[in-house]
Amino acid sequence: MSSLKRHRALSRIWASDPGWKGWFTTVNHTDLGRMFLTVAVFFFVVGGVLAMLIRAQLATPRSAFLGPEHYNQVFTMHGTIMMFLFAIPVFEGFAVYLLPKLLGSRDLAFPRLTAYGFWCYVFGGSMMIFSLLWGIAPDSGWFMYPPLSSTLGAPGINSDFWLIGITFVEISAIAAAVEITVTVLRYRAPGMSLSKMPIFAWYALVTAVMILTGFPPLILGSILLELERAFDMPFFQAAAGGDALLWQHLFWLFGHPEVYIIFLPAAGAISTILPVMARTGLLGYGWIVAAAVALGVLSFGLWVHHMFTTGIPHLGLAFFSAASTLVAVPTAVQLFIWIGTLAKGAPRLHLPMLWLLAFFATFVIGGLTGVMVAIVPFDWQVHDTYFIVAHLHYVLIGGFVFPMLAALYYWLPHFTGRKTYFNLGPTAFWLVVIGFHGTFLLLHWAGLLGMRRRIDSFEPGQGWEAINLIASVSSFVMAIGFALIAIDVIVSVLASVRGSRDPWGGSTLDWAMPTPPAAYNFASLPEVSARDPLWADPDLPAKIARGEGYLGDWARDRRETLTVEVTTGAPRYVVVFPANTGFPMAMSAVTGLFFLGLLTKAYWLVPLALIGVVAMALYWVWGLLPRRGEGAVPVGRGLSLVTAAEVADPPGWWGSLFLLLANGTFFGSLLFGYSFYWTIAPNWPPPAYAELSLVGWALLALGVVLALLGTRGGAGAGHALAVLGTLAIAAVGARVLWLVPDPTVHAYDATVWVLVGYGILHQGIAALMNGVIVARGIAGHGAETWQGPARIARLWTDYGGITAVLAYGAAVLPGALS
Amino acid sequence: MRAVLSLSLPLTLWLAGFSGLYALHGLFCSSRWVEGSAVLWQRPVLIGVGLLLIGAQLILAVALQSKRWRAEDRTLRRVSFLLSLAAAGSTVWILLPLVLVTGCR
Ligand code: HEM
Repeated sequence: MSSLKRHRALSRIWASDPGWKGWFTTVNHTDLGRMFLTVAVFFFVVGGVLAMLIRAQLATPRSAFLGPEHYNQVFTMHGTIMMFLFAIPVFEGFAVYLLPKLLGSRDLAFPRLTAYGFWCYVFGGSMMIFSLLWGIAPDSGWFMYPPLSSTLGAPGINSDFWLIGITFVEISAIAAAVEITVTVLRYRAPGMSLSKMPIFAWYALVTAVMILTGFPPLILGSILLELERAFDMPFFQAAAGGDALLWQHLFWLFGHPEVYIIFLPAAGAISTILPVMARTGLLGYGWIVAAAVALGVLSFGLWVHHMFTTGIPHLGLAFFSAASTLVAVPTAVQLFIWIGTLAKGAPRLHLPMLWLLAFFATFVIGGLTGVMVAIVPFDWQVHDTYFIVAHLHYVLIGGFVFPMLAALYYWLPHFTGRKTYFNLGPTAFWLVVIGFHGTFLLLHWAGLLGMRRRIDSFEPGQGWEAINLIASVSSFVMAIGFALIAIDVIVSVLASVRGSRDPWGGSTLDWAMPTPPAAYNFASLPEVSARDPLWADPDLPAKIARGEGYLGDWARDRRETLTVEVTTGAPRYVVVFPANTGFPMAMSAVTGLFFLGLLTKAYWLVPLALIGVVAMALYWVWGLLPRRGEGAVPVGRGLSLVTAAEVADPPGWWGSLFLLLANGTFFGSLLFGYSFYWTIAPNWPPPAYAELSLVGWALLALGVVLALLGTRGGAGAGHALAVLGTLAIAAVGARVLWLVPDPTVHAYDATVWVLVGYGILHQGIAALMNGVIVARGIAGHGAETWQGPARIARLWTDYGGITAVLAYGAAVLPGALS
Repeated sequence: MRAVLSLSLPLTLWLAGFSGLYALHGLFCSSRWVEGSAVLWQRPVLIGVGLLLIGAQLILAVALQSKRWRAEDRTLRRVSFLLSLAAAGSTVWILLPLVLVTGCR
């Protein structure tokens, strides 16, 4: 079989639909990665224009260019867009595009989920842009502290756009995180053990797990605040037992890890690009992995350092101050390893390397001012001043935007298969770097002179005029630099000459394919035996093209890839991927209707959209379920493997596991909020507590036993029993709600509604899942395909059972104790 | 999966301990821990819990290097060891405020 014939056959099987239709029906990670990046860049431009408006307004004292209301919307949307609609999606875009290519796979674990996540991002982001165009954008700052953001401080619809739009967008982050985690752990080339994995994949794994555990507290906070705004449930109103400080805890439980969620992918790109530029292997691979994991976990122990001025006792402050200084250690480990790698090699000053040097200079300054504000007395002085604005931009632009520009220029030949044409890159580089430091270096000083952040104008005579004028002029210099980069990239994409396959001499598998890459990535999946596979075997790309790896044969005429053992990288089973479909887009549009109903208070639309989403999800799941097994199929190199239909741990099981990790963090945050009220909030105890009778407890126990044992029965009848069990548990939940009829009375009542509602919702999910298993039995699906789906249903049922007991227990515990 | 767990457990234990200590501190303050009063059991309890945590970290570090639990891969085993050390060191570090700083003011 010739390479060309293989290429044609695989291209036919893997191709997205031609023309414009392809944009809406593609489930291919290469397309979706590019689409994510393009939309993220669009949002960067919008956020950038808003930044220019801010700087235009603040260029001179007493400026009347923007009124206070518009200014508030502009800075809030600037921060919100940059953090949620630009930074995280850029990571998602790079990860979606690169990971299968770096890992030696043909696609991500759940192609349709990637598409669904992308469209949620587009629709959610559009909601936010709409609010901006109509002058009703959020205006309470990107961290939306109540009471400023609650109905008291923001009676209009502005805050609702933030709470609902961002929650919608976060579906895409959670979807991408599940996708990335499962892909890194299971979808690698045979032989690629964890310790041979490209370093970017380690960073992506840590970041994805951080998204799974970091985003749920914010999703919870947003839901609580929206419930307060829409239905008067007093979660953040002290008079009724709530506490506005809880929002700050929930927000920063997300917000601080968010900083590292943004920085770690950039560090992953640096660790990938820098050794190639220095023409040597990365020094201290194990140390870098340890530093990434350490940063990932430590970053969850720092949230209170954003709340040093909220009156927290000294011991608490000192505690978080100490923890905050700890992160300097793994950060420094990475920096020294990168410097060591540069010293060991012979660096070339190509454009990506220039951006990395700009990163070093800028990020170190941002890191040092970070250590300064981790010291409580200093933070008290500069809190909410331009010192913080300068610090956060040194970290975000220096630590994220610059490395991402290095990544853009490094992988641009891969995206396009072309050389850059005008070579505007170096000029743009100098404009951006000089413009950036001109803007933000002096703003530290403005902060030290007392200039507060989030002010729409300032009075002359305080020594701030020159600083602000220089900062504003410099910011426009930076903007011109970014515009040049855009022109450079657009011309490279559209109109320049073809380049070579691997212009940098890269070591990773992404360069083992022709560029721009074919939809199937690898003509055959390589066997990997080294951490830098292309340096270890320069002939590998040719071997892959000749079909000497796995799955080089297309006789089964369907989209296939391999999964491997988590640690060793030994081949495990074959996965068959779905074909192109517009279904994910349609489903995210219906999801959008759900959020739109909430936003516009058209509550009749909400249940309709919810039913639509559930029906579509069931249809999706049903289509995925295997009907018959086919035994072991040949995968090349003399090996035969079964397909995912016949294993106990199919990709869906792994996906569920990590989705439940996010879900568990959400529930944990809810319990944290509840105990926070109980111990800290003023105006507790509430007028009355709920109590459950013995009959209620007995019914709960019966339901749990039926649900848990039913899913272990191994047959359709067992799952039918499990459905009954979940219904019994839900009935007990309904009884608890009956005992707390009015959730607007006190934060306790409101929290019980959320806790118990959560329990009931999960019984619904478990009932549906077990119902699907029962339906499979009726439809006569083969017994050999039974284990995987049944184990997924069991996982959700167990989770639902345990959390329901905890939720109901927590609801009635104070009553039982008092 | 054992390898992944051996990497994530040490610092997760640190995080759980850290959050637990902070919660305990909050609890003591909400139940009127007054510095200088006759009842001074709160700080020793916090320090005791901190010491227990250090002990747990050390036991975990040894367990993760033992034949039974250690990752098969040598690189991962080294990384897990580094992370265990980092977790134990971090626990000692965050104990300093417990010894040195006043409670609820
Ligand atoms: C492109 C150049 C940029 C310029 C000139 C710029 C400028 C500014 C200025 C002047 C403020 C302060 C507004 C105020 O307090 O009144 C601000 C706030 C902020 N910026 Fe930027 N920025 C830029 C890029 C970015 C990027 C890339 C990010 C994130 C990835 C970012 C994130 C933020 C955040 C989170 C805030 C705080 C918003 C708030 O206080 O609610 N900025 N920016």
